[in-house]
Amino acid sequence: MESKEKIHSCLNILKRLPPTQIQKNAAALVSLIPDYAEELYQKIDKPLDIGQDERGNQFIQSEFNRDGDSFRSPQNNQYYPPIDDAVYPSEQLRKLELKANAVFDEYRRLYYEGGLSSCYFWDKDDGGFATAWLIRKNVEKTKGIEEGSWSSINVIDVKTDGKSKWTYKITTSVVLEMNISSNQDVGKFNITGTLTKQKEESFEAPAGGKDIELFHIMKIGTLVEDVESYLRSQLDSVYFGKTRDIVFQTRFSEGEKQSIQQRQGLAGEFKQKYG
Amino acid sequence: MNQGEEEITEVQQYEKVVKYIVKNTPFGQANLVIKDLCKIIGNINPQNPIMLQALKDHNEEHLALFKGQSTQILTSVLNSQEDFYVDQKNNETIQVDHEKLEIISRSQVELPSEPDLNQLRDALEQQLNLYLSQQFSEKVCGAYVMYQGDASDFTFYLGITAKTINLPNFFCGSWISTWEVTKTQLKGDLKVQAHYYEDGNVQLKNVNTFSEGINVDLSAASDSAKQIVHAISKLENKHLTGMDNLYNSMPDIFFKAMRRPLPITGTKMNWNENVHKLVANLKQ
Repeated sequence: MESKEKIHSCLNILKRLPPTQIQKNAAALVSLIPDYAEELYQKIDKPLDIGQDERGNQFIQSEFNRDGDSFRSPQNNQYYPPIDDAVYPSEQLRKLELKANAVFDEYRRLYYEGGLSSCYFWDKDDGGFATAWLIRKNVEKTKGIEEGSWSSINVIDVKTDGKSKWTYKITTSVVLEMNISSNQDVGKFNITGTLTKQKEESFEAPAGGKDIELFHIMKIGTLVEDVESYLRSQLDSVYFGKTRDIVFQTRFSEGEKQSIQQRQGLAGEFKQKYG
Repeated sequence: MNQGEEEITEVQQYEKVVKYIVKNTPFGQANLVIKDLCKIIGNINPQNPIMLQALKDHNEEHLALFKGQSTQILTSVLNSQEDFYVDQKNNETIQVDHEKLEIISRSQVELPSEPDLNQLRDALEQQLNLYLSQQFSEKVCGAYVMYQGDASDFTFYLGITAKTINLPNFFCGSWISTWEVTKTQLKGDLKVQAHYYEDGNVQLKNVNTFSEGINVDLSAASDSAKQIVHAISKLENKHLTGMDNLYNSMPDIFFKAMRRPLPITGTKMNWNENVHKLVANLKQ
């Protein structure tokens, strides 16, 4: 399918462009394939934005609660700015959404001690549903960090076999931004990026369909917790470790190249003598 | 308007986007990005003038190194002409293939030349090559020296670069520094980039500027060159040490402020307990 190939090429390009400019990068590519704009935007991971209702209650704005230029609040199910004929989750799903938000908020408190969380659900044609569990946290100016932010985007696709087996497929992306204050020694220093992981698991629901909503929240929540924790540990080694390695293998520290050559020289001698 | 003319106009519309995207691509990945752009736009190939121009700009911005049989040249905005590059030292114009990073041909040309400045240029080149061999990975590194002006009023332009390109393991990096030297001042710009894209897209972007007073004596070319390159190497070493310190301290500071590995209780969240407690609260 031609559109699939073009979108695939766009995503390839986005992987290479600076993630600090994700909005601009996406807009540039969308201008080349305007017919597929919607589809492309849904596949892009970028830092999450925050909106609020008329009382100042905040919620996360994302592709998953967007209709046109408006965003739906998970607290009161209203769109801001208000629109007619918008998309809403079914009544059943909305109940699940309210419960999920309450529980996920506790998860956010335990792991993030701050920040903002939102869960959004939507119906699917195959009898299942999908949901996005989102977290945005900003780091205040501290100890040399000018700005920093973490955005978790957990998208879970939920299917059933029609009986009691439920399959949860999660795709989690964590988008990090870190800007170091202009520093005498180093100048302007910024590391920004996304890491993504997928996981799929199936479970048998308790007999009789009792408390199925609580079951979903527990299973989804556990998956989110596992994958986020994994990515957090990866981020440390990739975000910092890997970018550091790349720099230091391009330009060596003073004296390092000499000591590498010395060691290689000694190894060579050793081999000759005893090899 | 016939079919051919329509296509050209459409492609020109894409020119701005192509320029932006190729300009911002990490060095080592431009050819791949251009291939993907051609797939997206359709009816266009990498040899199209718009693609080639974008690639040329990309190479000049990243001080791309072009190799020939017995010579090599770094390309930058400074020595760039429309169809060729100027090699001041060897009095040549050089034509290159931007996709293959190869020198295609060279022609002799007569360029304005200042013997006093030539001496310093050659000494600088020698010192820079020594510096490169000591501090940089051989894989893709190079330097250039050019000058403008005359003995009474001169500016030397130096460029130093090294690149790491490892596409099979999803990473690239570049170190690009450009310097201006007058009789009394040394000014420089440094760009450090790293890109890792296995299962994601993580990029480091670091820029710094330098400025230092120096004293250049044209009659003592060798000593002056040593002084200048020594100043450059000291500034770059200091920058690298600064990066090392940042890398040692940041993970703790940054990640502690972001997300705990575990809640303060030391155990994972008890979903069962919390689900029942919180949903019950909701009903009230």
